[in-house]
Amino acid sequence: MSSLEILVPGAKQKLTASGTSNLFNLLKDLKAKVDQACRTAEEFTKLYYESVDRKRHTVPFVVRNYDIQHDNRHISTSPPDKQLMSRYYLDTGVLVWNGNGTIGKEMIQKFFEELPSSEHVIGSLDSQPVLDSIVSSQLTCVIQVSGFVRFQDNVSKPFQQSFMITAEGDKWKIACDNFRLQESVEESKKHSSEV
Amino acid sequence: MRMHTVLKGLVLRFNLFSCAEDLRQSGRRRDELNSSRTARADEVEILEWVAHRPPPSLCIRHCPESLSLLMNAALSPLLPQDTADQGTSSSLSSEVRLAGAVSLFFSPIQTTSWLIHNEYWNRVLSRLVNCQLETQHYSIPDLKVITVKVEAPFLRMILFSADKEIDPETRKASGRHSGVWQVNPKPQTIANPIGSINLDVPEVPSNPAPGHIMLDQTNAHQVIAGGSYSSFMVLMSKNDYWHKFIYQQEGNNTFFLARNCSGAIEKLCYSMLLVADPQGELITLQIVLGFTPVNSVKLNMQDNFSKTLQRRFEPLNRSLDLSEFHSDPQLAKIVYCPLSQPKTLYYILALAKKALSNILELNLSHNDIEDIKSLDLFSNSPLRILDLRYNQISDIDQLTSLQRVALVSLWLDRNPVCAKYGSENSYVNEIRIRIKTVKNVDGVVIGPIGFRRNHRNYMVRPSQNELVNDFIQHYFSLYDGDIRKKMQGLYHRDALYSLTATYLPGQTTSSTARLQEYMTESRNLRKLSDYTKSYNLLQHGQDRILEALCKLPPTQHDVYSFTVDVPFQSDNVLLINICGVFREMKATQTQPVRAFNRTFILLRMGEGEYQVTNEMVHISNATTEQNTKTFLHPLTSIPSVPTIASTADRVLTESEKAQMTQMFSQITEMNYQWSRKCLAEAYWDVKDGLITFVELYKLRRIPPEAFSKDEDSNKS
Repeated sequence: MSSLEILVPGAKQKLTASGTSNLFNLLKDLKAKVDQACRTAEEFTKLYYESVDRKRHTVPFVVRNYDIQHDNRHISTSPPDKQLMSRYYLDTGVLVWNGNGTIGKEMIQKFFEELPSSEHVIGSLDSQPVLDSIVSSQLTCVIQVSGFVRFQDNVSKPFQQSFMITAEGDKWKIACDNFRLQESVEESKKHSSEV
Repeated sequence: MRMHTVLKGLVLRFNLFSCAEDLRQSGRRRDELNSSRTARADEVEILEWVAHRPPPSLCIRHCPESLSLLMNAALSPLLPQDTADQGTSSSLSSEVRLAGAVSLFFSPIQTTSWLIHNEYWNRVLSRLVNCQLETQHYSIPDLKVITVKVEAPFLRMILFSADKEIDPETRKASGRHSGVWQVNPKPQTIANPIGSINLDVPEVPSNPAPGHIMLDQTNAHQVIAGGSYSSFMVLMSKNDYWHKFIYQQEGNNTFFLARNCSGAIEKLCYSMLLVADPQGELITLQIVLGFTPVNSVKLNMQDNFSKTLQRRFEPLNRSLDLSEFHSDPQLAKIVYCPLSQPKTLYYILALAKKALSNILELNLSHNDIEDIKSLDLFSNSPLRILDLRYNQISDIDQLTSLQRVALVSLWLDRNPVCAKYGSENSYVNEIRIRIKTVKNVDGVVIGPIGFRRNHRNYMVRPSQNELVNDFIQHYFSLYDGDIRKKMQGLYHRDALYSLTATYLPGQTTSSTARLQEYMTESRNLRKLSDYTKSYNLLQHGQDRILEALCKLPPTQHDVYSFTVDVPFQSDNVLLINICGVFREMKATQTQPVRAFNRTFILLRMGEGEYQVTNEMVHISNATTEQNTKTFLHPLTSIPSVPTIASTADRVLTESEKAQMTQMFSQITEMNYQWSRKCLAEAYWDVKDGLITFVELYKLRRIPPEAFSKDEDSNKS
C-alpha cells in the first residue's frame, strides 16, 4: 500500500518516519471519514427511497379530493403528504431528473407530487467523503446508487442516481441529486421543411 | 315651398312624390302620415322649389330626371352651402351620390324604413333588402336588414345608383365620408375575366350543409377599393365571411367579387364602409350589390382547387402541403382563398379528403388559422403528422377537434397558444390530454405521461459549458487512448476513486456479459459485509487510482450516447455526472458494449485548471435498446461533445455590460467593480452571477470591501 506516499494537501515533501504517527492519524482520519460516509449513505438512501416509493402519496382515513383526470392518467385519491420529500433537500438543493433541472425545495416538492408513483429496487450503493478543501468545514459525501425502478406498473427500468449530501446542523441534506434512467436519448426530429 | 326640415316630412314628400302606384294609391299611408295634400301637389311644389336652386354638382345618371333633381333638392338643405364644390362630399356623415334614386332612409325618429322607388327599383330592391312596410314585406335571401346607426341629427343615406365611377382620391380628401352602396340595375358581364375560364358553375345542392361554400346566391357583389391594395385582401379575409372569387384591377381601383357575405356587408355598414389598411390609413370601399348574377361569371372553383391540391400532394409520403395556401401562385391569380376562414378551410379539407387518398401528413403552417374545427374531418383517418406552426391558434381547446385523429406527431410552435404555457411540461401535458396518441410535439419526443421529457444535458450554469466540454473531451480521449497513465495529472493528490458493477437481470451469462474485471473491483456497499474490504476497494491518491484504471480493459466510448448533467457548480467546485456507453476493445471477436455512470467532483486548482477529487463509476451491460441505438456514428477520435450547446453566445456591448453591472450592483449591493467582476466570471449571465454571489455570501467569502460605496472612483 503506497499510502505512505500520500501527501497532505499543500505539503510538498514526504513525511519522514518520525511523522508517521501523524500520518497514521491522518489515515485514521480518512478511514473514519470513509466509514462514516458509508454508514451515512446506507441510512440515508434507505430513508430516501422509502419516502420516494411509499410516502409520496399517502391515503388518509378520509378520502379528500377524489379527482379523476380526463384521461385517467392517475386517480389521485388524496393530496400527497406535503412536506415529505422536500425535507431531504437543502433550500437551494438541485434535482436533475433525466436532464430536467429543478432548483429549490418548493419546486422539488412539486416535482415529486407530479411524478407518478414509483417502486425502486437498489442494486448497488457506493459512497465517498468529499475532501475538506472543497467544502470548508461541512461534512459532505457523494453517493452513487444504481438499481431498478418501476413507475406506475410500467416496465421496470434500470436507473442510476447520484447524490451529494451535506451536513446541515445535525441533519443530512441533499445539495444535489441526479437521476438518470438507463436508456438512449432520442434526438429531436428536424422538420422536413427545416432540413 | 316650405322647407321641410322635419325628417318625417321629407320622407313623406318623397314618398308621395314617387311614382309607385301602390303608394300613391295607398290611402292608408297618407292617412297615417296625416297629410291632406295630394301627391301631385307636392310634386309640383318641390319641382318649383328645385327650379330656383342650383343643384349641387354631382354626377347624375340613369335616372328619371325629375327624381334626381328632387333628390338633390331634398338633400341640399342638409348640405352646408359652402360644400357645393366639384365632387367634394359634405362634411356630414352622409354621402350623396346620385342617380337612380332609390334610397333607404333611416330616420332617428322612426325606426322603420321607408322606400322610395319606382317600379324598376322596386324589383331590384326586392331581391336585396329585407325591410318591412306596413303592408308590404320584402324578403331578400342572404342579406339581412341593414340597420345602420344614424348619427343624429344627420341622416345616413344609402343610395343605390348605377354609377360606378367614383374617384377615391377626392372622396378621401374631403374628410369624413362613408362608402357608397350601389345597386346595379342591369346584369353586367365582367370585362375580360381572367384567362379563359369557361366552365360550368357547380350544381347547387338542395340542402347546402352548413359551412359548405355553395354557389347558391345568384348575385355577386362587387367590392371596390381605391388603388391596389393586396394587403387589403388579407384584412378583408379576417373576420368576415367573404368568398371572393374574382380579383381584378380596373383602372385605379381594385375590385373583387364576393358572395355569401351578408355578415361582412353588415359589418362594413357599421364601419361606414371604411377599412383600415395595415399602415393605418383608411380605405374607402364601394360596394355594388348585385353586380352580376353568378351564373354569368364563368369560373369553376372546384376544379381549380382540385388541381392545386393535386399539385401540392406528395404521393410518396402521402403528405399534403397546404402552407400559405392563399399565396399559391397558380391559385392566387384567380381566387383569394385563405385557410384562415373556417368555411374555406372546411371546404378545401373536404375536397382534399375526397380527392386524395389516405393523407398521412398535413401541413397547414403559415395560414393565420385560428379555428381548426374542420380538422375533425380527419377523425379516424390515416392522418398521423400535422403541422400547425405559424398560425393564430390561441386556445388549446382547439385541439379537441383532433381527439379522434390518431396523431403521432404534432407541430404547434409559433402560435399564440404556446405563449400561454410557462413550462414545457404543462404545455406538453395540455396537448397530451387532448390528443392521447401524440408522441412527438414540435419535433421533440415527449416522455410517457406524467414524466418529463428526457433531456440530453443539464447544466445548472449553462454558460460554463465550455469547461465541461473540455473536461469530457480530455478525460475520455485519454481514457480511450493507449496510455491511460497519462491521466495521472487529472487527479488530485488526495483524490478518491471507486467502482461498482452490477448485472442487469435476465441477462445471459455469456462470456460477453461477464463483468469479471469490474466485479472484482466493485465496491458495492450492499454486498460487502464489512467496511474493511470496502475501504480497500476505495482508491486514494493518484498512483493507486491510476493503477486501478490501468487494470481495466481498453475502451472506446460513444460520445454521442453521453448524457451530461452538472447539478452542482460553484466557483471552485463542480459535480459532473455522465451516463453513456462504451465498447470494450477486447482481442476477441465480439466487443461487448457496457453502460457506465460516472460522477466526478472537480476542484479548481488555478486559472482554468481543474482536478478530479472524487470519482465514482458504475458499470453494467448495455441494455438491448442501448445496443441498437448507440455507436451509430463512425468514431475515429473523441470529438468535442456535440451535445452541450453554448447559450452564452451573445457578444455584449460595453454599454450593455455597464447596464447589467449597474443592475447587478443594485441587487447585490456590491460596488460597481465587484459587481462587474462577479458578472464577468459568470460570463455575463446575470442569473449565474446572482447564484454565485448568494453562494459566496452564504459562505462568507465576500470581503467587506466589495460592499464599500466608492462606486464613482471604481467605475471603469
